[in-house]
Amino acid sequence: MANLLQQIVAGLEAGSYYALIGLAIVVVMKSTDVPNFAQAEMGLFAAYMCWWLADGEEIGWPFWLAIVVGLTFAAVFGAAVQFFLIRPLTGLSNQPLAVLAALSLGYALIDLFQDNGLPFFIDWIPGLEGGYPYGVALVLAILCVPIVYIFMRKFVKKMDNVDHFPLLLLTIGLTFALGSLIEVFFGNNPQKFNTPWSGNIFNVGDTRIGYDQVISISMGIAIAVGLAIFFRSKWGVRMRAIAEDGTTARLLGINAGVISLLAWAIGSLVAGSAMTLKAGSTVLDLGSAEGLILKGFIAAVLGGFVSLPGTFLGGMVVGVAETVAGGQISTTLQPTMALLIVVIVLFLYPQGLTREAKLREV
Amino acid sequence: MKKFKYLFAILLTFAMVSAACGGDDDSSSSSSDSSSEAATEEVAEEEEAEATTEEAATEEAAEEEEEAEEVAAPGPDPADGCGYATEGDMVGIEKGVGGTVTIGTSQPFTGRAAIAGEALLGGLIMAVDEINALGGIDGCKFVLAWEDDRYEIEQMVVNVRKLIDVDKVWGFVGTAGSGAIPSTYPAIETAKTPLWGPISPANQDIKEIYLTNPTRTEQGKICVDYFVSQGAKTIAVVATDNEMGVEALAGARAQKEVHGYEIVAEEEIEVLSDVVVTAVLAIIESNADAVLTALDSTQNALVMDAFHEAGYSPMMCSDAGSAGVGGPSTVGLATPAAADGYLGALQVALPDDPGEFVTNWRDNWAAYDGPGKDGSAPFSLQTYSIIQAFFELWDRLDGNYTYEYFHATAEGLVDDPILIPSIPPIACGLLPGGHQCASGAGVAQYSSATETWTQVKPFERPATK
Repeated sequence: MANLLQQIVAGLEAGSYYALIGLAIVVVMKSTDVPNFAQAEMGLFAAYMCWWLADGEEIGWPFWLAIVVGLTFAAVFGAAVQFFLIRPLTGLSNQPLAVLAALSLGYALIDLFQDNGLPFFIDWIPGLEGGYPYGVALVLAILCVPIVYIFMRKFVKKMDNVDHFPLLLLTIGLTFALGSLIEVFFGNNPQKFNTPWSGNIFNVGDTRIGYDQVISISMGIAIAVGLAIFFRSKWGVRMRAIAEDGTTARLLGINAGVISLLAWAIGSLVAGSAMTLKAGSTVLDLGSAEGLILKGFIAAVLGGFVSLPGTFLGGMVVGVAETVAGGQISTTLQPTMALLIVVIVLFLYPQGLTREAKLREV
Repeated sequence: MKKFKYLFAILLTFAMVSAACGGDDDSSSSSSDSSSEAATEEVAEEEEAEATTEEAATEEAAEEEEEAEEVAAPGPDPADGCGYATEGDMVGIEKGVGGTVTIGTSQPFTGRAAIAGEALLGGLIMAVDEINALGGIDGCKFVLAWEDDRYEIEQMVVNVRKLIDVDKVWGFVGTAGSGAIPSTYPAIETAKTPLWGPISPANQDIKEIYLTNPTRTEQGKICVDYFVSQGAKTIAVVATDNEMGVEALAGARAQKEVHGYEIVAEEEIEVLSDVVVTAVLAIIESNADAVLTALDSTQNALVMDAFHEAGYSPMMCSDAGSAGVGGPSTVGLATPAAADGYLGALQVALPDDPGEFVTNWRDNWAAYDGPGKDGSAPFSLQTYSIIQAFFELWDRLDGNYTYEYFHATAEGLVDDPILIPSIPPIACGLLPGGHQCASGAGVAQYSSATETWTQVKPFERPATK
């Protein structure tokens, strides 16, 4: 019995991570109508940021300060992804992308001009061979910035007909890009992320429960409740309106761009919270997001990609079911349990676990 | 007159026929009288003796001529440089004075396994630089072509094909990625490109593949032998749901027949998953005396922590790679109290081994500043040792680098093994079975107090009935 209780607690802990990633996916889905495959990876980026700020061998800030700054970064990062990358594919202006591309390329060109000078077809001109001093490289790079901007504005046009597939592919590509960025910025070694509660446990009868388990489950519930409250607020209602009928909502004066920006910021914040909690309980690893995104999507499917309670419940059910099945039957069964649940639920409730889910096509 | 002519012709013909047949044919000679027969025999013997003497003289002269020709002919000469005894062109070999041999490797230089992959590559580069600085082998200097596979199967296959088709490598050395390597075998077999010392796939009895490390099954057996020597009666196995787990489990099951212990739990953890709690709880419930694991470094650390938090402290042993024996890659992820006493199989000597070979490696690694320096140093000792064995084999080829001669020489190592002090003897033989060239492993134990590994079991073959 103690063992079963321990399995349930462990399942709830795992389920809270699945649920949070699922909730982040649903929040983005509500505004942009795209399943964000990069959601867990975005959260992992934020978790690495928290670790980097808190770790004594890196920045070494106090733990809570590092968490606040790290999760703020998560929200800003999510908004930035929407602002620079998602907007042109959702029928909005590509100006931010053009500015970002022009500035980024300009920055990269400074090094290029310093190291190599101008391209080969100009390089043969007497006096223009090889690399240049920093000042010359800087001026040349600044001259290139407007050219790149004009090019981007002219040729990377906003999409008139919003299509899901480019957005979907963009999020998949973003997953790989973020994986590489994390490796470049934070290295490729697994890292232990010590929290104030790491390794602390308490007993309930014969059952040993870790503080990290309790905190993960509690935070999962708190964030789910917080999101539910948010969606009843003015901004939440606007977000739901965009999700239900974007065209009508825009005609009513709702700024779809701002709503989408907000949703991506919230989604990234929630995913960052999930990955940070998970890192404190286990280890920070480049592969941490890989398994979690699948389980997050399963939770979202169980919520019909629209219901917050359904998604949260779905994540918890998957976590508990796979842990208990693994413990009571066989650990061999554990990896297949989540998919088995999806199949069963979709057979019985094709539109998701809750009534709210029926509002949207899956 | 005409009749006389006919009679003369007949007699002459008869006389010629008789002369032609006499002495050569016993039957015909037997028709002759005895005196003439004896005389004929004497003459024949004399003639035979003369003929024999003449023949012998002729043969001697011919031999002398042949010897003279051999001395005069341009045969294999080390002065001709790299590949001096290799007939025709050979892929990856630039023959002649100042010639080179191009060998290749694919390593997880970035990605999840980079901490090992970096150092594995570093060990190879360091050894190649060293041998080239000493002038190479038999006039050949070595070129190492390498690619990063990020520990991804698809990328490893792409790399191996690229190294064969574009870089034209003669062979591969020390390619790492146990689970992924078999995916490259079709390309390797098609090109007939040898692969020396991959780390550390199971043996599949393939002509081109020479395994110089004990397999995971063998390492599992060694771990279990150590458990039994320490009094373990019940053993649990926790492994990933892939080939790595299957190999470890095979080792535990095989030694059960030898030692007679009980396997009280066999648990699986999904590859790359950090949800280890279910398996951990099952093992704690089994109350095994010892636990054999076949997990990745992170999973091993999580299992250690979970055992420790539960107040459960069995002996725990893993294969060399996932235990990160000799370094902090695995134990550094666990809390010090949990990692204390953790065991790992040894494929290669510990990095602080006082022997001359390891001391030389240690000094060179300290001075090395090339790619892979950031990796976990003990992994570099592994590839450094493997490529030293390859260099020794290369030396034995005496300039003949055809694949046929390479295989013949390598498969003859069973009679004259290559002895590298840091690894078990390399004694490859004929297929089947002979390309598993090394057998036996040691066991090392980690101490959190000193943050060091100590060898607790010497390099030995697994116990048998």
